[in-house]
Amino acid sequence: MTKHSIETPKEKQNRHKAMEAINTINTMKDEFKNPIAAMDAFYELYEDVYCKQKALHEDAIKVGTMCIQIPSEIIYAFDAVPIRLCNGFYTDDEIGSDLLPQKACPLVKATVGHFASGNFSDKPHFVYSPTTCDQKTKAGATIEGFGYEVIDVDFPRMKESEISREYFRQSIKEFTVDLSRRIGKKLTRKRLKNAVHKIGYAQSLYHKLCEYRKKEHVTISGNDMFFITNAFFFDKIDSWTEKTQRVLEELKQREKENITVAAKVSPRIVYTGSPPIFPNYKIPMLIEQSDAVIVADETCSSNRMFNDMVAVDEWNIYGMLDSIADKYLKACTCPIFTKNDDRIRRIIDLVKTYSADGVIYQAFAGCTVYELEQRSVLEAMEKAGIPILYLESDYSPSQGGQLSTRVEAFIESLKMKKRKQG
Amino acid sequence: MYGYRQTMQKMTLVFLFCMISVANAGTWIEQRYVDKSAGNYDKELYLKEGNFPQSEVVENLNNPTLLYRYDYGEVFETDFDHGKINVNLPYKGSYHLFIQERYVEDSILHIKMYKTRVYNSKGNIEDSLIKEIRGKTVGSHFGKEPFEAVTFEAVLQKPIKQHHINCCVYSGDIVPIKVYFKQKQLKNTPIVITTQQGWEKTVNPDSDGLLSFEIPRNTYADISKNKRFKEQLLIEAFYEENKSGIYKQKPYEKIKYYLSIPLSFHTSPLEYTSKSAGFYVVISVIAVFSLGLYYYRRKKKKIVKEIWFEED
Amino acid sequence: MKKIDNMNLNKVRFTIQVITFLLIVYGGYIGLDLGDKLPTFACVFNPEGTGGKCYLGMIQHDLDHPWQAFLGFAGIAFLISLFIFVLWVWVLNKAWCGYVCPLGTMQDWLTSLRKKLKVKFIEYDWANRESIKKVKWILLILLLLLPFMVSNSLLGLPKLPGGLTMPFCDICPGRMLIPAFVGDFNQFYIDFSNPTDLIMTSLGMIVVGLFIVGSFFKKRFFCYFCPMAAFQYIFSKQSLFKLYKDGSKCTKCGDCYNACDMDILEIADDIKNKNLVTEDCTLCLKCVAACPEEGCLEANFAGKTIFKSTKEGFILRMAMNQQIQKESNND
Repeated sequence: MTKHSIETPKEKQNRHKAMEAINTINTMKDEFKNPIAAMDAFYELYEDVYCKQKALHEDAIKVGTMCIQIPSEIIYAFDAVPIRLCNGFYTDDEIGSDLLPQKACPLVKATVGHFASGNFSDKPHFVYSPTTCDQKTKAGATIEGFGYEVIDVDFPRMKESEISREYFRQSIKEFTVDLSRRIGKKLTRKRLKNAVHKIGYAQSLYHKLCEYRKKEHVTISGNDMFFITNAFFFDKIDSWTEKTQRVLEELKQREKENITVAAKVSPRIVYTGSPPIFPNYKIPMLIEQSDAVIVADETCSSNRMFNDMVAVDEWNIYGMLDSIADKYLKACTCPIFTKNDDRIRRIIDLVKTYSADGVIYQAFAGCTVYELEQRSVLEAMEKAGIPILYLESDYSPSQGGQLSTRVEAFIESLKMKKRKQG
Repeated sequence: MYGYRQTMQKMTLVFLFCMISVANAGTWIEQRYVDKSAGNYDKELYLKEGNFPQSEVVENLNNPTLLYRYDYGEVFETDFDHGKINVNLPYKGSYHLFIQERYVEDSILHIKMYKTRVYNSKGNIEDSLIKEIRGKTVGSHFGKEPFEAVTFEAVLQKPIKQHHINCCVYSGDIVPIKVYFKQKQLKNTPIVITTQQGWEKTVNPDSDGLLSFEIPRNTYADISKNKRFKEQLLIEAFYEENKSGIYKQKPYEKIKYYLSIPLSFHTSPLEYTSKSAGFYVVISVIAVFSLGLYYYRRKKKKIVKEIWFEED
Repeated sequence: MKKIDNMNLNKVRFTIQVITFLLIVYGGYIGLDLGDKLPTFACVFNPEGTGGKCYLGMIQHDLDHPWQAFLGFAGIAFLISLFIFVLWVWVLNKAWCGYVCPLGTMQDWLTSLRKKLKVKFIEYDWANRESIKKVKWILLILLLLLPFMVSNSLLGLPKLPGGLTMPFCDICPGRMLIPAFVGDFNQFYIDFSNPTDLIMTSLGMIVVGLFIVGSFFKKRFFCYFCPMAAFQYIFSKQSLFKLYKDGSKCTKCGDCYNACDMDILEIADDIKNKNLVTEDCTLCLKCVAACPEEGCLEANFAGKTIFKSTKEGFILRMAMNQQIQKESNND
């Protein structure tokens, strides 16, 4: 006799999330031409974590981070594991909607919802929350209400000034002391140096991947890149580098055999704006399904996380900590900062170096900083003669039709232009 | 007023001096700037005669030859004209000047040699330009080997230094001298040293023929305002050769050689400098500032003590 | 080219500095003589060993003459000397400081010692950093003016005492420290002969003490105040050797500023100017080595790029090109 049981709310959530996840994975696997075999390891990882709720770091101390500004280098130096908790699930977004204002950013809502449900495959022991954008800053308090330990980390909203540089350096020192007390370990020079090198190596692999995207024949799709970079949120770092190395090997082979993911006329797109986080790859997929290819991005789930490496002059703790702080502040192009010419210059530079045909700027409805910056970026692109499309989206699966019309039209116009130019 | 008293004192000194040293009259070359304050760096050279340092200008010489010897050995001849010594030389840099006088008196042929070092600041334009581009030459009082045109010569060797500066000669320096006759070192000839203060000494050669003396310290100088001053001394040497002959229709039975070199020197830095004071200052500055920084840092970064860092 | 871009600049620079140090401090013993108009501290107080002579000493000496003298040959000679100094600057620009200057090299050695002892360096704050800039210009003006005032009465003022004919040499730590390297410690002294010399030599001793403490705690401590740096900078714009920046490639990450021994803020924040040889720059090129952006910073000689920033070079220099084993003793 089969035993019937009523599905608990948790099981129901997991079922919904698994559906969302497998949907994205399957689309990735089936609907694009010339899939990369080595990517299967990544798809499998996502399936394990999001469909099968498999824990990856059972014994380790897991340190939750709410934004990219919490330095992974320092966490790794204590032999702990950083888990970035930015969330892309619509299921969680819906849970969060009851807890945050209706017009709040879906990413924050989903993250809060995730904590509210308490449904983690790798549950963080404690969470560090940098004071980046308003919504994330305030989300910390809400999350604390569900019984999590949330530690706020000071983060300045200006990066040009001397005072903010000193402020964040001090903040990072305090974060380090706090972490060291919680874990009960001392920070040693050797461990920190190794951690800096380890992450630096992972970043160097990302830069190698990007070299293939600069070429005329693009051998890896933007969505696969998002899969790879997004996995860095939660994957074991050694296993991530191994998988990425395998992808690199395959890309080398593909380049020789001239296997590409896009046709010659496919417009090359630079993607910027609110971060696409698994499984919310709605817009990137739409772009690449419309016969364009994303060659570069300027988002905090991908490029911004990997682009800048820690540069150390004196490899002692004082030198490394300060360099780490500088990397997360000075090099960051997040729109939360007051003035943000750096972000505009980064986008223009990306368009140039990746010989892109246009920019797609996507902001989540409610992600105020990206919405606010939209106008200045559009103006700057117009000035530079770069076609740009601004889209507003959210996590709901129902929005497809209207968005796809706009994306397709934009890509078609880029294609026309490209054909004309020959 | 001061000037007057000074002159009076000097005159008294001169008088006393003349009384003490009656016999020793020397001849030497003196040089001075024409008008340095107006930017004129030309020098006038005179031949002086008297009891060193009191002297009068010599206006006439018997059969003089004037030789300038340049750094690398080149020799130039010029004129002696009523006490004035002609300085019109092609190169910029240091020369050694030799004035030679010959005459017969009481059946003795006197051959007198007055030597000094002259710095020519001008020279011909091309040479000076090259020197300017290349860098300044540093002239030397010392260490030139004797040459054929000068029969009897004394050569100053580099002094043995006990102090720090490299340019000059100072009281307390031991100055070694070698005397040559016909380019061969004389090992038995003494020299006579006379300082501005009237101190006089005959220096005898050592077993190698080296004549060395320590420049004496002037204990009478006025050091209330500045402990440094410049003084002069005169080096003289004599030599006789039993050789008869005829010079300018006058017979002689003996040749007497004379040689003089004036040398200016400064007060020894040992008189007015202190190395230990220097080291004390350096060490205390280092100590004060490093300790200051150490405590400043400790105070400023109290949290650091709490930080669980280990720099190794 | 790629090999140069990927080089370990610190090692290469260390080697060049050792070689130039030997040539400048001991070159005289092997007959090296680069003349007396060098734009670097080749010290005259090390007469046997020095491979050339510092122009700052020479110009002080030259200026100690009545003004009338400059109307004649001395004036032409002065201009010729200056011209030759400018020629030297034209060739190497401020790399004289970063690669040749023996005082700079000594400071770099003290910095390495501090690094080994794991003592943190001092940083000035930006406001102080800015006001310190003036000091070297004041020192330059003084060192040119004082010797001249020894021989001339300016504006009716009495002539200065003779103890001020070489005012900068009196306080330059090179006078004491460079001869010390050939075993001559005789320049460590205080002169009691008269008030001027007493003050100047005491100042000199204090400056040496400060130099040693200062450059231990602060990278290139003395260079912030060096009048030679100011003097070179007057002729730097025309030089063959340049540090160029392509502002469009700059992300303002500040890595270059972090690496800069002279705390030059412009190197990170200035995205408009191409020529980034500022008044304090020593052209050590550490910024180029620390820059992760492809071709953003470059060292340029006579219009040719000789060393530029590359991502690959950066990754190699930061030793991020290979996987770190978990328990490796990489140090």
